[in-house]
Amino acid sequence: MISTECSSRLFTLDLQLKLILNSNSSFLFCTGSLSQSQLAAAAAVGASSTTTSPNTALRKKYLDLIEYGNKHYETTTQNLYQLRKTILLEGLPPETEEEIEDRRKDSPRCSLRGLVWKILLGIKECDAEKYIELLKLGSSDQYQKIRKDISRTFMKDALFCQAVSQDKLSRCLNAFVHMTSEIKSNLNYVQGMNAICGAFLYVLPELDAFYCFQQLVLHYCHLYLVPKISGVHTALNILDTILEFVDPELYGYLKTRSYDPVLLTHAILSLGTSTPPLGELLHLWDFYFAFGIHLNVICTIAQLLLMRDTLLAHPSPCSLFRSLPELDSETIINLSIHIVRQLPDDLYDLLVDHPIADISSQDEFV
Amino acid sequence: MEEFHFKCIVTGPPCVGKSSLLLQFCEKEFSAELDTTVGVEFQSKTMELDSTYKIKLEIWDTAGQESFRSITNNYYRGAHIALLVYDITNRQSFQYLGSWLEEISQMSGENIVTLLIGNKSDHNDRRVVKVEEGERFARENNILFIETSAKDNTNVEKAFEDATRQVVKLIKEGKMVVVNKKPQTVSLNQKEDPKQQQQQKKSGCC
Repeated sequence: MISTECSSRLFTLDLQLKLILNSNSSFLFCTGSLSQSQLAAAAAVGASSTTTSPNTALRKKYLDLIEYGNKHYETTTQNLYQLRKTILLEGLPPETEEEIEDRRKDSPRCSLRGLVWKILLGIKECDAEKYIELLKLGSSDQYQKIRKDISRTFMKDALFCQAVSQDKLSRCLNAFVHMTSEIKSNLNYVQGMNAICGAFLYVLPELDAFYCFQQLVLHYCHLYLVPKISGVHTALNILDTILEFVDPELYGYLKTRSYDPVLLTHAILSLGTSTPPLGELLHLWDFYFAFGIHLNVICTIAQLLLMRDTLLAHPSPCSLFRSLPELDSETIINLSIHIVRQLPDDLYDLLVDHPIADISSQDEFV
Repeated sequence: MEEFHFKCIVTGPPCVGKSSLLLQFCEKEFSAELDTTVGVEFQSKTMELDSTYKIKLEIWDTAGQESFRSITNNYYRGAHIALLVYDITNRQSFQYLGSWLEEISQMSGENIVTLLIGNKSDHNDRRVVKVEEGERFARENNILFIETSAKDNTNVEKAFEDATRQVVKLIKEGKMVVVNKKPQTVSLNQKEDPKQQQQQKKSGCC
């Protein structure tokens, strides 16, 4: 996904370390849910696949990394480092035909991406009985809202509509709402969750998707989705500051044309799901889960910089924010790495913390 | 041709067709496949009114869900027009319009021109809110009313024309003041005493 030449150069520039040191999580290789048989199945899928050999080799590399990680808990930090590095340098291989078929058939088997996501998010087990218990509670108080939104989730994506039934999405979100009230969390259903949960359901079997979604929301970006979406406000303030910092000319022009960072709320809150295509978004999520959700702010800025010429030539540039140009994950990730390198440390620290830590003095960044 | 810049906010409960109305108005398109609006979206559109005025509209489309109020509330400030949309096939979307109106008047100036829009009029077979109910609510609250269909483009343009016409009328009557300093913005000025308003009007660009 990132050309080796370019990224190995970047790699030597200590950037990876900065990213890794700053990623805000202590991930664990999962044990319970990643059984040997699952691994064997995933490996078999890779081996029998008809894809070209470099992809098969890359797939094998991931499976080896995962297998090694599962056997060597004592070096989890280093194992994760290898996994993240591989994601940054080589990306995940394209899906195999078997994986695509699995999705279509609603198979309970995890794809390679699914396995990697679970590891990065620290999902150790997926308690099926618990999920069923939540489902048995029936409609939550948010059910009406959820119902309205699930029919408006990735509607233009035929593959998504084929793979993720509205019932599945509804079950998952509804169970999530029950779960939040059970643990007395102040989280509730917020528009945008429909798309985030949808993307998980696209990649993972329902049970795994539920736990990944729950983990992401509760532990990696809960401030984006609390009822007042305070983390989104902080993110937008930081985005504003960084945009002005990296491209004063563009920023200055936008300022004279009704610009307000809140126009990018959708890109921040829904973690990029508002911009197609979904296939490219998944690569961005690989990057986010490996190095931190905060990178979504940087990737959003990268998207603006990529449309810079168009924005500067447009009499009403902010009307283009409604639907950003289609995602090109490789270019976006490369550019966002360049942006990160320019950032002063204090600003970067603030960026890293904002989805999970309340930043009281956010006014200074307005 | 006399030219005005107006700021317009589109608001109302979730899933009533706010974004669809705008899509139809700005791009003459309808899609049954619009994803939910998250936060605020911006569009601009220039229209001619009664062959006399050229109106440049800055339109802010807001998300209907409560979580986004903290964001969308900022947009009422300085707005000239509020389009309050409900869905004629959904009773619930009509029920709480009172609190939406309250929000509009709290967050904006009293002089904001509010147009109540009953959308999805193409679904007459599934209608649960009568035309008369919409009319009555509008009359009681002293706001404008129209029914539209974003789907078959019924009254969409007329809705925007009605609202802008009313703003122009208020400006001509000196109840809204056009500020000359920034050509892009026109501000409401209902708090000033009438004398001052008149003075400002004289010095204004109209």
